[in-house]
Amino acid sequence: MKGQAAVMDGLIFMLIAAGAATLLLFTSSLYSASTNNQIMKIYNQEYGGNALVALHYAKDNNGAWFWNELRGRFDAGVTSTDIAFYLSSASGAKQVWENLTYSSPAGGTTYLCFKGIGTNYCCGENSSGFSCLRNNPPDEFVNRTVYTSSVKITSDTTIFLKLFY
Amino acid sequence: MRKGFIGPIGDDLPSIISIVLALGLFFSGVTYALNTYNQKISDMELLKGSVEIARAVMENGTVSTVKTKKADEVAYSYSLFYDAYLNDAANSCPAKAHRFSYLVADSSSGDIQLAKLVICTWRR
Repeated sequence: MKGQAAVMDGLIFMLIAAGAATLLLFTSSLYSASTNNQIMKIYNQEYGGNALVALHYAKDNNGAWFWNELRGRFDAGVTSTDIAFYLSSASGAKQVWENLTYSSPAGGTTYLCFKGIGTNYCCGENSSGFSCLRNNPPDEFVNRTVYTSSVKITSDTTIFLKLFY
Repeated sequence: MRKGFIGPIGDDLPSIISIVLALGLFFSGVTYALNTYNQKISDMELLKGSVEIARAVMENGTVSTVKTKKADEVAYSYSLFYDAYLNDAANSCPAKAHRFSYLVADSSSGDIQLAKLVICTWRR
C-alpha cells in the first residue's frame, strides 16, 4: 500500500510538472509569434517609408519625374483607366512599377492606392492582369495582413503603398 | 527483514523515477522557453541592426555607395556582419543570413534610377 501511495504521489507530481511545462511551451510560442509579427511590422513600415521616398526620385520610361507625372494627371482629373495605362505601359511608368514589385517583400501583392475627392482605387495585379479598380485588391484579400504607408501627392490626393501577405 | 522490503532507497524507487521524469520534463520546458526567448532577442537585434544599416546607407534618400563608414560602425555596434548590394550584384551573404530588401534611388552611376537594395546581416 505504501509503494502504491508513493507511485501515486510521483505520478501526481509528474502531472503537475507536465502541466507547468505545457504552459511554458504555450507562453513561449505566443511570445515567439508576437515578436515575429513585430519584426515584420517594423521591416514593412521601413520598406514602405523608404519606397515612397525613392519614388520621389523616380523617372518614368520617358525620363519624366514619376511623381510630377502622377500629380499632373490627378490635377487634370484623369480616370483610373488612364492611370492603369500609365503604370503598365512601356511608354509610361512600367519600369517604375516593375522596380517596386521586384524590390517589395510582398512581391506581386503590392498595391498603390489613390484616394482623394472623386478618386478611390488601387492599382496592382489581379487575376485579369494589371488594373486600377475600386475593388482592387480582390475581396479574398480582406483577411490578409496588410502594411500601409502613405504620402500626399496633391492637395486632395493621397497615395497609399499597401503590402499584402 | 520485513517481507517485500527492498531497502530505504529501493522502497522509494517508483516515486523517485516519476519525480526525476517530472523534473526532467519541467526543466526541458524551461530550457526550451529560454532558448526561444534568446533566439527571438537575437533575431530582433539582427533586424534592428539591418534597419539601422539601411538607414545609414540611405542617409539622403538616395544611395551612392552601398558600403559606408557609418554603416560599418552600426554593424560593429550590433556585433554583426553585413553585406549590401544593389539588384542582383555579386555578394558575400551566407545562405543563412537574414535578407531585407528596400526600394532605393540609386545615384551611383550619375543618373538617378530606382534599384533594389538588399541588406543581409548575420552574426559575427
